[in-house]
Amino acid sequence: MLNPTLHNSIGAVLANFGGRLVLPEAESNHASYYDGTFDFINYVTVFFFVAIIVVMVWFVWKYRRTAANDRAADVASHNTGLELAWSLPPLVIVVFMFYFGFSGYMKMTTIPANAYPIDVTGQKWKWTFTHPNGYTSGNLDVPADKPVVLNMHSNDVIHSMYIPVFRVKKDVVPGRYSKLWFIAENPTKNADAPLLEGDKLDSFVREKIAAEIVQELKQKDPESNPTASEDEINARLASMKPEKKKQYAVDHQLEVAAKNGHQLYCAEFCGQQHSVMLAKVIVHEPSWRAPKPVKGTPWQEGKKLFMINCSSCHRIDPSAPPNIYPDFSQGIMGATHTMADGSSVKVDENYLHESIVNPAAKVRQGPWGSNTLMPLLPLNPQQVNELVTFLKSPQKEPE
Amino acid sequence: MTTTQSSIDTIYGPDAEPNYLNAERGLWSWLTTLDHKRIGIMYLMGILGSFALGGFAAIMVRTEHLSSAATAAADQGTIMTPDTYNSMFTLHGAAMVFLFIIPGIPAALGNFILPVLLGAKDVAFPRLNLMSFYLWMGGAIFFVMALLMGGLDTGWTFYTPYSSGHSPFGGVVPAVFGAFVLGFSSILTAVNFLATMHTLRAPGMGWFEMPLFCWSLYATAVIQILATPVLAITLLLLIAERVLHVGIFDPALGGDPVLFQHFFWFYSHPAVYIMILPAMGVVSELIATYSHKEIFGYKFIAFSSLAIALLGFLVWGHHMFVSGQSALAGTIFSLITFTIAIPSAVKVFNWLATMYKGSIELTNGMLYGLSFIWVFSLGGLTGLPLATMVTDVHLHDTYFVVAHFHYVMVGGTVFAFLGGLHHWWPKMFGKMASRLGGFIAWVLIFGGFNLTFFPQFLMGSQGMPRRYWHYQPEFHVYHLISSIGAYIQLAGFITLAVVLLQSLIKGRKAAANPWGGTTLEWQTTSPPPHLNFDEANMPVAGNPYDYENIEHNADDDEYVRTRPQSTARSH
Repeated sequence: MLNPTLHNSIGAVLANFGGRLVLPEAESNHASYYDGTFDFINYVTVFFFVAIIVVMVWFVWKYRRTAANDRAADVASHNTGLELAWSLPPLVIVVFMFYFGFSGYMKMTTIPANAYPIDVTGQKWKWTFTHPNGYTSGNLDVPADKPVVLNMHSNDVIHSMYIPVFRVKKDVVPGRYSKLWFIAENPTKNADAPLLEGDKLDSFVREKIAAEIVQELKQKDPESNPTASEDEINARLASMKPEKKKQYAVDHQLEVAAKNGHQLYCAEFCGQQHSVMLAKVIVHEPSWRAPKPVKGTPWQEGKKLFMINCSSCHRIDPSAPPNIYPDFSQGIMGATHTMADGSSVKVDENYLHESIVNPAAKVRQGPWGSNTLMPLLPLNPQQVNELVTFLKSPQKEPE
Repeated sequence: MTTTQSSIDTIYGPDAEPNYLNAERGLWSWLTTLDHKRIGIMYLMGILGSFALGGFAAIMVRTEHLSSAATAAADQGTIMTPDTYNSMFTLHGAAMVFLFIIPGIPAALGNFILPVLLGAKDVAFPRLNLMSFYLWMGGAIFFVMALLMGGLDTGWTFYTPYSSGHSPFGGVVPAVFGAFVLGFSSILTAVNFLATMHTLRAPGMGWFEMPLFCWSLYATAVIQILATPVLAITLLLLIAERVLHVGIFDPALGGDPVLFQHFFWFYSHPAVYIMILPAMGVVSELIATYSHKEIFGYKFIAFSSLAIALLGFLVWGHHMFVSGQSALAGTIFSLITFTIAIPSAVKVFNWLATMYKGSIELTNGMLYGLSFIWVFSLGGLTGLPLATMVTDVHLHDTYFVVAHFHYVMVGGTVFAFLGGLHHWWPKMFGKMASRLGGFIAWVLIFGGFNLTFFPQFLMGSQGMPRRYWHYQPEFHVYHLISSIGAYIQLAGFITLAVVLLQSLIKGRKAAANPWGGTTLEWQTTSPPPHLNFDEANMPVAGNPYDYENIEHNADDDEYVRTRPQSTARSH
């Protein structure tokens, strides 16, 4: 019964008893006001609940029905003075609560003029964050200690931006813009880790190459349990182009940052994949600037598009956990797929293109059922081409 | 046809004195009955069936969460796909809200007991009463078929534009239509109850001699009549948009999705009081009867029900603090929400004051009454951070909200319903249920309930969003405890079902007044005759809570009245 996850979470609960049993970490300017108000209300709650239960249990015991106490005492059945008196303290307390809640809400909704704007698009079932210089990511990158405002809109249904450690939430509604602001307090650990170089980069790249080789071998013989030979790894490392190696360094940096980032959720039910409409908040040093968007090779651009648009449902990394949707971790070109109507299709470029621009044309058979369609992506023709280029070889860029 | 009657004969014997159960024979006599008691029993069966359906979905949801610790456990497999999960929580919410909680106490317990409490022979419009039952059945069948066959994944709230333009399931229109039909049943029952209370009170029964349960049904009926039409209109607009693509709520068609939320909560927040006010009425009866003492602050309790009913119409926007409604609107809604907290809180003080210097008997009915105070207090108090604007921002749409409304709606309403069921069971069927068996069921239900929902406060305030098929591993332990609590509750409800069914077959015969109650239903036989009271001995009403002249007869374990009820209240 005690699997490792459960064991860890019990440990987390015990560790939390010291202070964070009821709230997550506090990481934004809104949190301290929020936490103070919440604590105040909780003290009131505990006081009244305990008082009511103690009195109730005490009465049940003291006035229990016995031979000696077989009828109620003849006491007044109403008392206007008493009834007014016990209405007053709760009234005074809730007036304070209202005031704290009101003034905090005003702070939370009054956006500083100099806030750094980030455009947020919500769409079934992913977030897209676009910075003023055009830098786009599936995670939310923000500088620490500076006000940030999210300008949010939805392409389809209502979503809701929720970052628990910042204590902020706002619905993202189609047809209108909604805004939310905060000042992130602490840079994420390793958010701006220096790019790997030299030996460290080599050993990271070697790991990736080894995984690649293992995967290739497994593809040939799914039953085998292959290992990558040192010679093969060395050969591939030696022949790798410097740009490609640099890309590995950048990938590594993003991977590390996202691992330590804060969890961001969609909090408004938005359909089938609502519970995986997630992202990470990565808080950078105050001096951070969004990287200049660089145009890479079509494959690299395709990969970016894939990570933003497709990766929450389609897996390409064999070490990532599987889900029920078509899996690309073994590649798909040339495979033969069975469609929902029973026909079969050999995957080629035309099929990939058609599936992107018209998801309803050919629906693959599988556990997602025949009434679940891949959403139509807002891509221009060039982007569709880049995506197809990537999908033809999702594991590695063709030399 | 003969089965129903022969089982009734088995229970009561062919020579039993005439009562409403054996007055007419055969299934047809039930299906065409105009007797409010039989209609109440039929409602009770329908409602318990709906509760079982909603409970099944809840157990499925909790079982899914045993094993869905997000990424880490994904390869260990889950029992259902996201589509199935989304349908299950929708089925749970919709069945429980529309088919169980809203009609539960008024239509089942209210139908059976209200005319008897008033000393009347029936409701004012018996045929209308039967019609509203068939509307309920029709709506319910439509609703359940839609959920099971077409499928529905919108949640019971049907938020647009997901429901009107995006949900891929076929069940949206039939389910919405089912809810529309159920609304008519609700309105007709309310009209009937109001007319009954206005015109059919026994001689001597002024407004302030009505038992408090009647006052709560009065306030509930007012809400049902005024709020339900708004829901009906909203649901029709939703159907118009989904089927005919008339742009009302979907921005892609030129509509406004937040408008739907205003319309929806304009009904559904008052509906929360449709659920809780009758429960408070039942609890007032339980606390007074089992304390054997006059209720404290009768008029305050009566008027606070009406005040809650009216103020309940002015607070719907507190469901929408993060929806994008204006800060000014949010501020006003927050303020009014706090004003409604006061009468609710003071009711609790009144019940405690009723127990003060009483003669308190811990029957199973009383245990549910006391559980209500526990659960409702916690549910009400955890409403405070949700009414406070700044704290609601973080808690909205998390498990904290889920825990809060389960404490209020389920803990509150279900416990009051079960208390009322135990209280009036002898009157309904003329049989006493096993006290020990009922106690065991109570321990399991009350313990299991708290074990299920208390951890949800903690995980919600830590940031666990609701309606999540997969969740982050750090929440696993809370989900595990919660699911174990759900299984304990399941065991409790099965035990309770066995105990109640067994009482029908083997239960001791119930006396006319087994609990020492003073309201009029205890002045007739258990079960009552077809027209509720013996024609020769029609009741005369007085102070409904006059415990002075009730004596316990230990030989027959029943209570008898030594003098007629006093007409004026003593103090």
